[in-house]
Amino acid sequence: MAVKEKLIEVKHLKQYFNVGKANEVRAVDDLTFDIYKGETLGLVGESGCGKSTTGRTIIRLYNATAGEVLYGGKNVHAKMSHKELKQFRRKMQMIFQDPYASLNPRLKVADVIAEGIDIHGLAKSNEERMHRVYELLETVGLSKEHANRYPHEFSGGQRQRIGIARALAVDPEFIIADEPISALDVSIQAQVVNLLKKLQKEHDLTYLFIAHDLSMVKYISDRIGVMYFGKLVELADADDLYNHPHHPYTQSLLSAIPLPDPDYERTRQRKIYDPSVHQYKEGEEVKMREVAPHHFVYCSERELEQYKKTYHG
Amino acid sequence: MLIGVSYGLISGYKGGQVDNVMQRIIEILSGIPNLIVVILMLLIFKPGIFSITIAMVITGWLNMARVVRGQVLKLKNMEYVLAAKTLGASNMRILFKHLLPNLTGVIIINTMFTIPSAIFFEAFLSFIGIGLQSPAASLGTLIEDGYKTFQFLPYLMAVPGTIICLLLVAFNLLADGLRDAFDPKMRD
Amino acid sequence: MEKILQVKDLNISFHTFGGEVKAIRGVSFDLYKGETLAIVGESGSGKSVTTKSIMRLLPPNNSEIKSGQILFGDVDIAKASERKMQSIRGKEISMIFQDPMTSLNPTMTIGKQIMEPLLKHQKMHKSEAKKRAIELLKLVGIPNAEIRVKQYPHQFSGGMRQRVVIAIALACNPKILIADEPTTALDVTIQAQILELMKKLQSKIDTSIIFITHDLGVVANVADRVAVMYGGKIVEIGTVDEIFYNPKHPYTWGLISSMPSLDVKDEELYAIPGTPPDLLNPPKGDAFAPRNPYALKIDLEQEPPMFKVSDTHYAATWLLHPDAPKVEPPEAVKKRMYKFKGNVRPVPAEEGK
Repeated sequence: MAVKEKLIEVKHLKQYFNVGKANEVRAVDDLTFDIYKGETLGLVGESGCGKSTTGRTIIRLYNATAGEVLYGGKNVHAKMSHKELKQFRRKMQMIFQDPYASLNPRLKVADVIAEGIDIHGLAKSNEERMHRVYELLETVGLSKEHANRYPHEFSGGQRQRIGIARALAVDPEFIIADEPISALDVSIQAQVVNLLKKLQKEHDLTYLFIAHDLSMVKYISDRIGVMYFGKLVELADADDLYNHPHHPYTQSLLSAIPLPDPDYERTRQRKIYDPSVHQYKEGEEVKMREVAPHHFVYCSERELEQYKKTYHG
Repeated sequence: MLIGVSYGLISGYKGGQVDNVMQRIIEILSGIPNLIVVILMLLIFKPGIFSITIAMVITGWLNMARVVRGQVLKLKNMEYVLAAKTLGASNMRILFKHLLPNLTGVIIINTMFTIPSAIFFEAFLSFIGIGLQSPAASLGTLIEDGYKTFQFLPYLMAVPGTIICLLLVAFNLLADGLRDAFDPKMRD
Repeated sequence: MEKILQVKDLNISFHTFGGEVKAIRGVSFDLYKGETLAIVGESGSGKSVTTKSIMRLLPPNNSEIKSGQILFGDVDIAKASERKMQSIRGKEISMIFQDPMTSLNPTMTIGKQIMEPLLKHQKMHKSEAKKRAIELLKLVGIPNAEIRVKQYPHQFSGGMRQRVVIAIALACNPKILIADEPTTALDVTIQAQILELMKKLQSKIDTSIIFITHDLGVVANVADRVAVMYGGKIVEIGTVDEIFYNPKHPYTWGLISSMPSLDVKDEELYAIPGTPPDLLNPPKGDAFAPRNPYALKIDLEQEPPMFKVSDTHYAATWLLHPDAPKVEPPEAVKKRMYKFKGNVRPVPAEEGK
C-alpha cells in the first residue's frame, strides 16, 4: 500500500474530569493513534471506556487535560483566534447518536441543515442557500419537500439523515460519527451505514466511527481500535483484528458477540476478561507495541514475545 | 421577565463558578420577604402604582431566573447544542438561536403564573392600605371599602371578591393550558 | 408438548386523534412449556403490543382488543376481569423491560421490590420473603446478597439492575416470562452474561419465555422458535434452525441480509428500502409488498394466507403458492442454507399456526 497521509494525529491525549478530587474520572488516559486520510477508523469499547469522550475531545467540544490532537499538522487545542477556530470547525464535523436530541425542535429542517452555511457565510443569497439545502437533502436520500418541516415530523432514521446533511453542509474533510446508528431499527441501520459509505467515496471523507456494535463496525471500518477504561488496548486492520485478536480483552469482547447462526451459538464459548491475568510487575512498562505489521497491542515486553509466537504459530 | 431570563440564561449557560455565585445571590435575595421590599419602596417613593410596580419588579425576577436556569442546564447538553458548537456557532448564537426559542415555553408559562399573583399582591397591598388608596380604584381598595360596610351592604365586598377569584382562576387555567400546549412539541 | 398459551386470531386497535390504528391484525401462535419463543420485527411491527396484550397492560381508554382469544389455562385473558389479571400478573406471567435504569423504583430498596410479589401473591411472612429475596439475588448472580438486599437501585450498575429485574420477575416462579428487549441497552459482555443467566434459570424453573428483540444474533442464541412480525401480523414462524437456514418470507430474507455479521465477508450490506407501513390505513394486500423486491402482482391485491412449510414452519407469502414462480433468495440467505437438513414442499395451511 502506498504511504498514506496522516490527517489526524492523537498524541498522549488525556481527558480527566474532576482532576485531583475523590471522584476523578480518567475518561481518556494517554491515547495515541493516527487516522489516515480517506480511511474509516472504528473505535469500539463498552460503556464508560471513553470512546465518545475521545471523539468529543478530538473535535474540541472538551478542552483536553493533556496531550495534543494534530489536524493536518496543526494543534486543535492550541490557543487560536476566533477565525482560525472557525476554520477548523469547518473541516471537522460530528454526527450524533440520539436522533431525537440532535436536532433543534424549534428550527425547520432547512435551517437545521443550513446552520453551518449561515455561520460560515457560505451562501451569498437566500436562493443559493436553499439550493444547497435541497442538494444536501437529495444527497442523503430525502426530498425538497422536507425542507419546510420540523424535526418531530420525521422518523429516527430520517432525522439521522438530516444530521448527516447538516454535517456535510460545510464541506468537511473529517467526520466523527458517534454511535450514529445505535438508536435506530436494524433495517434502518443498514440504510444509514450504506449512505455513509457512499458519501465517503463521493466526497473523499475520513471517518472516525465510534460504536459498540462490533459487527457493524467491522463492516464499515478499515482499521479498528479497541478501548478499555480510557486506554487503547488493540489497534489493527479490521479483518486482522477479528481473525487474530491478541489482547485478552479484545478476545473476550469478540467471544461475547452472538452471531445470527444457531449452530455456532450452540457451541460458542465465551471468554471472560480478568485484568489480573496480565500480572504486571512494578516498573514493567506497558505500552502499545507492534506485534505484527500494522497490528498494535497494549502490552509489556514479556507479553509481546508471547503474542508474536501465537501470531505466527 | 427580561432580568429574570437573562440572569437565568447566563447562570445556567456559564455553569461552574459563575453559576454558583449567581445562585447564592438569588438565594440570599429570595430570603428577603416581599413585604419588606414593598415597605422599603413605600418609604422611598409615595404609595401608589409606581412603588408597587417597582417592588414587584425587584422581587419578581427571582423565580423566573431559577426556572430558566434549570431549563438551560437541561438543554445545554442536548446534542443539538453540541452540534451547533461543532459547526462553529458563537456563544451568542447558541444562546439566541438555540436556547432561547426552546425556553419560550417555560418563560411564557412562568409569566402567565406571575400575573395572577401580581394581581393578588396588588389587591392585598391596597387592602391593607399601603398600596393604592381610595378613591383610586383597584380590586383591593374596593374590597377594603366593602369590608367597612360589610354588615349592611354585603355585595360591596362580595362582588370585587368574586372578581378577584375568577380572574385568578382564569389566569391559572390559561397558564395550565399553555403549558400543555407547549409540552408535547418540546418533548420535555 | 404442553401448550401454555394459545393466541388465536388477535386483533387490536388503538383509537387516536388521527383515527383507528390497526396495530395487530390477526396474530395467532402457541407457546409451549419450557420453550423460548423469540419475536422479531421493526418498530411498529406490533411485537410489544402483542406481549403487552398478553399481560393486559395496554391503556384501556384508547386501545381495544377487537377480536380474538388469548387462552392461558382456562382463562381467556382477552376477556378476563382486571381483578383476575392482577392475580395473574407477577405470579403466573411476568414481564421484564428494556431499560434497567427506569424499571426499578428509585426510592425503594432492592429487597423491598423483590419482596413485593412474594408478599402479595404468595402471602409470605416478611421474614420468609426476605430470605427468599436474598436467595433470589444469589440465584441471579449478585455477590454479597445479604448486604445488597438493603441497597437502592442507584447503587447498582445497568447489568446488575437487569439481574434484579429478572429476580423480581421470577420470584413467584411464573409459567411465562415476557422479556421485551431486555439486553438491548446493555454492553455486549453484560448482554452475554444476562442471556446465560436467563437460560440457566429457565431450565431450573421450567418457565416459558417470550423474547422480543431485533438482534438476530441474540435470537440465534436464545430461541427455540422464532416468530417474525411485520405490519401487525406474523409473517413467518418456525424453529430457530428453520428460520435461519431455510427462511421463506422475503421480509425474513431482508432482515437476515441487512445484518452485518462477523462471519460474512465484505459485501454491500442489503438494506430493506422504504419504511414500515402506516397502520392507520393498512394496505389492501401484503403489507410488505411496497418494499418487497420479490413482490408478485397478487401481493398488492390479496393478503397471503399462511402456507405450511413443515409441521413447525409456516410463512405467509404468495411465493409459497404452488403456482408461484421459483425465486432464489438473496446471497446472504443462500450462504446459510447449506446448514439446513431437509427441504419440504410448501402447502397452504388450513389455519395459520
